[in-house]
Amino acid sequence: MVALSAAPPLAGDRSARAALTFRLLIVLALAVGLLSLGTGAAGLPLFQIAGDLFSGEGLSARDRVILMDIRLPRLAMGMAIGAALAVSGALMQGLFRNPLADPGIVGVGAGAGLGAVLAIVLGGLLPAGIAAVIGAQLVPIAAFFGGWVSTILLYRIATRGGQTSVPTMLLAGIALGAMAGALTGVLIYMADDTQLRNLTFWGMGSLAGASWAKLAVGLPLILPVLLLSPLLARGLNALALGEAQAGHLGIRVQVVKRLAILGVAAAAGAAVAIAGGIGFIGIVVPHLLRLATGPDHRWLLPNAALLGGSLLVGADMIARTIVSPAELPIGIVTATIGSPVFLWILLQRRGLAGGM
Amino acid sequence: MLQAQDITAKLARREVLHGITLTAQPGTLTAIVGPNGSGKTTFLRALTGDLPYTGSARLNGTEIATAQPPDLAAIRGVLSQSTFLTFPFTVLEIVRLGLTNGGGDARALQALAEVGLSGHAGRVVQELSGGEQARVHLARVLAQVWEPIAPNGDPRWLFLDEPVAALDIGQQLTVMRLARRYANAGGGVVAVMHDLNLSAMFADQVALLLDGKLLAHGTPSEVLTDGHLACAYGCPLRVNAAPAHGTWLVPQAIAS
Repeated sequence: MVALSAAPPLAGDRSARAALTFRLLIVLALAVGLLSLGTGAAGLPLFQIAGDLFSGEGLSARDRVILMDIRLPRLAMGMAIGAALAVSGALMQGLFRNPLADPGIVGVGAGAGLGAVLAIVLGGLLPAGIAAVIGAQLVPIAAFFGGWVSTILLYRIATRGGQTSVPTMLLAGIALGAMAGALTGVLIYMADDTQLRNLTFWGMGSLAGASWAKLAVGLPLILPVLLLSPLLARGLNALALGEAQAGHLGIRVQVVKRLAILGVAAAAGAAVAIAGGIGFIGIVVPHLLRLATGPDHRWLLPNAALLGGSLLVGADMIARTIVSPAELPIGIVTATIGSPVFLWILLQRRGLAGGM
Repeated sequence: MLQAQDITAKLARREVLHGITLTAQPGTLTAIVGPNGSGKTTFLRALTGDLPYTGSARLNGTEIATAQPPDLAAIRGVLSQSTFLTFPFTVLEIVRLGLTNGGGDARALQALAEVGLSGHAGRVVQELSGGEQARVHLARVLAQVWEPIAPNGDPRWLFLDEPVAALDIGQQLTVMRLARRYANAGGGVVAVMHDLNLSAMFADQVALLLDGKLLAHGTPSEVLTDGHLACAYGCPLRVNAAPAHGTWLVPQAIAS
């Protein structure tokens, strides 16, 4: 007889399932990561890399460049950006108490985009001293501030007397997005040829051009959010009851709201700055996880980071192999997968009393 | 002790509470009654720190408006009139949110048993009936302030906004008895009530509000009189004694 060590699970307790999911998602992330390292236009499959490494000869110079300077930074960037998008989606949904809130949909992406375009087009006007200090960090920093300002604006517009109106938020998000789009259009009109080329590549949403340098710029904004967001989990769980009820449970609601907004602006802003417009990861990933293991943010946030990263790296593998040797902008791949899921969520919720 | 001194509060820049003074002792149940729009919920929201007020409201000596949320959460639970959930939490997960003062899953299950929802821990809250959902949130509030006396000896408080509004008459009695037991064990209970009968049966003190003012307060028999009720509710009402139970019952509408 094998003694069952675990106590019978408590009805309604999904934390064991969420913990198991967490472990499975780590395995998934490792598997997708390895697969991605062995996938690409240049050939060099995984077993060859492994064979070369273990034979003691090491990699050829060409293979080393492919692995270390192309595939590895791209993998790391895909993981970081996918995680950033999924976690900011989960944070925003918790903040607005709405599973359809997403940095992309409510105009944060557009705000971050405007910041990035401002930096690309007008960055040259900065005094040389400042430009030298900020240097390559200018675009992500500008995107961060763009995302931050639009998140705060949105929150202010949609919140009255302590109550955040979700329909107002979604509509205001569309309006802010359009406004940012118009300003972006003006800047594009002003841009010269080199800037236009940069803008076009940036706007298509792609992990192409991934480099350790870009990663060094984005990670300081993304990593703290990924690691620290679980500290907001208790507050976000309580916020699901409403702001007043969260306060009754001892949550400092304003602090939680401000930190969540800051986290979304940092992570989503950095992701947009580095990889352009990649949609739907922020909605699809938290939604799937809530279906599987429930809405407890203590598990939802770390699991979203793992699944978001894996999903984006997987989508990137599709993007760079499906029309190989050319590559599809990854935003197209995530939108193709994500928009039907978004509609599916909407249709499901149509049956729920109270709707949105 | 709960001491509200000259409480004035505004909703949308309009003053809706005009200087209410009321004291509630631990170990008692206070019912706040009055017609629709008389300011009952607004008064409760001021007392729970959800609405800015002028005047002074002290709970166990602490000014509520300036107290920190965690300090208040340690001594009082608040049941709001309605709670709308968008995410699919299970009943157990919601009650666990109330465990801010410890107790663990054992206490969550005790609280669920107390409101008669023992078999429902694994259900998703939105799939329950309105009355069951209301009791889930009552269980969450109970789990938060389970012991009527805090470890430091201070009394704990339950603030309930229409705790029986969504319930059938059997459940209404269950919930009122539960509130009564909480008060008998040394805690304080302040409940906004629509039902005058239940208020008469269970409350030690009744506060009758009209147009944002305290029309009368005192024991149920002092406050729930024909004259007060006619004045407050704008229609003739008759209060009948039910001597067998030693309580006042059935403020009765007179066909006029």
